[in-house]
Parts: sequence; structure tokens; C-alpha cells
Amino acid sequence: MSEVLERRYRRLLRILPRHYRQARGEELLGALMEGAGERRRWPAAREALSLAGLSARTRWSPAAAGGGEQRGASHFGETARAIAFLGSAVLALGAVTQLVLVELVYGSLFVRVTTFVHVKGVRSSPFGPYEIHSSYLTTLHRELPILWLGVYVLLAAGWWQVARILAVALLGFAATDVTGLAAAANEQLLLATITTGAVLLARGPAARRIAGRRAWFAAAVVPAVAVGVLVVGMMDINIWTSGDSKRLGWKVFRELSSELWVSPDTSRAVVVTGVLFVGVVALAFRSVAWPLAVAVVGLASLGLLAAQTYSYDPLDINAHSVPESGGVPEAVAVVGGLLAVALFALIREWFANRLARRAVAG
Amino acid sequence: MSSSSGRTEQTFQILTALVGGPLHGYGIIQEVGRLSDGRTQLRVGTLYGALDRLSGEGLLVLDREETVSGRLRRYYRLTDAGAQVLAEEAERLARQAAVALERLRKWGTVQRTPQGGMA
Repeated sequence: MSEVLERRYRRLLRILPRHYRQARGEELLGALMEGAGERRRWPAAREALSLAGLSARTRWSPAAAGGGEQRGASHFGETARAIAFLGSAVLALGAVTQLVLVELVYGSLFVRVTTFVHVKGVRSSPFGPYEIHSSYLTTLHRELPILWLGVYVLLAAGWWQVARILAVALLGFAATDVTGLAAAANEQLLLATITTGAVLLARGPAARRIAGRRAWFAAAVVPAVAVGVLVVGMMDINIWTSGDSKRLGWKVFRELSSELWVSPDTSRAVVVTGVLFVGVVALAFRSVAWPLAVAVVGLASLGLLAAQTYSYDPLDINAHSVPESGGVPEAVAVVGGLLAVALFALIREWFANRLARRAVAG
Repeated sequence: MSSSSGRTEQTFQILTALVGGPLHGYGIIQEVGRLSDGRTQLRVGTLYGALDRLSGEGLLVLDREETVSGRLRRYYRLTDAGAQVLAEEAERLARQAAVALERLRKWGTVQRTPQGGMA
């Protein structure tokens, strides 16, 4: 009978991370079997619950449950950390691009400061016509997402608790902002949800402060890029509105700003994809966390691109969607490639662990 | 070393159980149950979470390993730092208990006054 119970306990112990099981598995099994008594056939429910709790603590706070040795953050924690940084950076840069577009398409910022909107009627969308009948409050719905830049800087500065509060507030804002996409869902919502979840789940060593001067560099790089996009975008608009399209500056600004960000053609997509792949493949040889994070954020970012590809005035119920040039097929190809790299990183890690185990056994 | 204040009762009981000498996982569970007159029944997952944390803080160390009836046993021993933290925690609890008893005695005295009011 004890063999049956032992087998069931071994199965139950699979709930724990592999590194923890390798370090503590036999010891835990011994304690469980000693406490089980002669007549028990099934693991006790309370023991199963306590092991589930141990598994959660080990995965989310490995320093607090290190399996007899101090370890760094787990893959889960490191991936959550990477998604938090990357997601907030993408949301911030998306928000900056959106600000440029607001100026470009609507010609004004901060106009609809707070408006209670009641919408009733039929609206067309990329997915066909549909009826809408809803009321909502819109408050700076194209301007507030810039605060994701604040989330990123707070993370880089190591102020995770404040970043968590701001991220949750921005997620709440994104969830209540139903303008901007046909399916009454915000284009940022998926990425904002994943990013906020990652900011909340990265605990213990995963929520560490970046060491040394690298913290300043990390905190400054995304705001610097954002300011660059904003400045170049706005200058682009000024030159564009002046009508002097033959000037070299106009061409350069078009290349660097909206053409690159809004509607990349195939050649740009190939260049961007190539640079991205080289970087991510290099990362894949070091850790699975960043390739996974890049793939997850890339997949979730498709909504941002789709929203920019189909643009229409969100407050005009009779507006028709206006498909703009390209972008989506290339983006799908890029994200597919990123998923492939993430898979490669996982397989590489699996083989590396297997070889290490064989070396230890040998 | 982290402050001893705010430690859970289970942590206190685990440290207390190890005062008598090194114990293995199930031995700690049994000792904690015995010391608490059966009120505390540690679960294996809870125990090992606490052991990892306390080991990380340097309050416990691995003493030795044994194999008994084919089962691996690891014995844990209280460190000097662990003993000091336990002593501080015990003194803190004793002070708190003394304050509570003192206040209860005063409150009881007020209750016995002819006016019957509270101070």
C-alpha cells in the first residue's frame, strides 16, 4: 500500500519547480511518508494545499524558498520582470506615437478633456457593421497612456511598489476607455493587462533594483527615445503642414517618424526584423526570460498596430474604417519569428539542463 | 539579521523545537505538535517553506544527512544567530504578556470598585 501512496506523493510533488524537487524532493517525500501512517492510500488534502503554497512561494519568491541553496530569481520571475520592463516601454512609446497621430490626424491635443458620450447607432468596422448603444466617460484617452513612461522609469529606478500602483491605475483607465477600436475593446488593453500582471507578479529578487550606473542608463533610454519620437514626429507635422515636401528635411523626418512607426513597408520590416532577431537570438543563448518576454509583448502589441492600421474618429458613429497601408502581415511575420526564437530558447535550455544532469549523474 | 519582531507563531515554534538538538523534517513536525499540546499541526509544505526562509536568514543550518529505511532525512540545527533571535523573540513575547496581564489586573481592580465604572 505504501508503494501506491509513495507513487501518488511523487506525482503530487511534481507541482514543485524542478530545481526545488531535485534539491528537496526525496527529503519531502520522506517527511510526507513518515507522517502518513500505515493505512493512508491517498495524499492528505491539507498536505496537497501546503505543497501548492510552497510551490507558489518557490516560484514567485525563490530567495525565500531556495531549496537548500540561495538561487536567483526563477525563470518565471525573470520573465515577469522582462515583460514588465518591455511592456511598459512599448506602451509608453505607443502612447508617444499616438500623441503624434492625434496632432497629425485631429490637429489638437487635450481637446476632449472630459466628455460624457452617449453613442447609439450602427457603426462599421473592419469586422463588419454592428450596433452600439452605450455611454461612457472619456478623459484624455489619447494622452493619459503616456504615463506608462512613468511606470517604466519607476521600475528602472527600483520603485516597484509605486510602479505597481500606477500600472493598476492605468490598466483601470485602459479597461474603461472603450473608444478607438471596433470591438469596444481598447487596443492597449491586452498589452496593458499583461504588463500590469507582470509588474504585480515580479516579486523578491525579480523586483530587484538595477545595479550601479546601469539603472540611470536604463531609466533614461526609453524616455530619450520617446522624446526623440515626439520631437521628430512634431517637426515632421510642421514641415508636412508647410507643404514644402521637396525639402530634404521633410524626407528625412518622414523616414524617421511616422513612416517608420505607422506604416512600415516590407523593406523596413525586413530590416527591423533582422535587427530584432539578432538581438533576441543573442539573448536566447543567455536566458529564456527575455526571448519569452519579447514574444509575449510582441504578440500583445499586434493590437496597437491594428488600431493604427484602421483609423477613424472614435466619436463619430457614422465613420467608416480606413485601412491604411500594410504593416499587419509583416508584424505577424515578426511576431511569429519571435515566438520561434522563444521556442528555440526553451529547447536550448531543456537540452542544457539535460546535459548538466547527465554530467552530474556520470 | 532581520528583526525578530513580527515572526509568526509557527516560526517561533520551529525555532523552539530545535533548541533541544538537531531534528529532521518530520521530527520538527512531531516536536512542534508536542510542544503546543497538539494545537499546532505543521504541514510539510509550510514547514519546508519556513525552513528555507530560516536557513536563508542564517538562523538554521543543515547538521547532517541520514538514510533511514531507504528515506532521506536531513537534520537541521539552530545556529547561534537563531538562538539569539529566538531569545529576543521570547523576551518580547514575555514583555507583551506581562503588559497584558498587568492591564488585566488593573482592569479587574476597577471592576471591583463600588462605583463599578472603568478607569
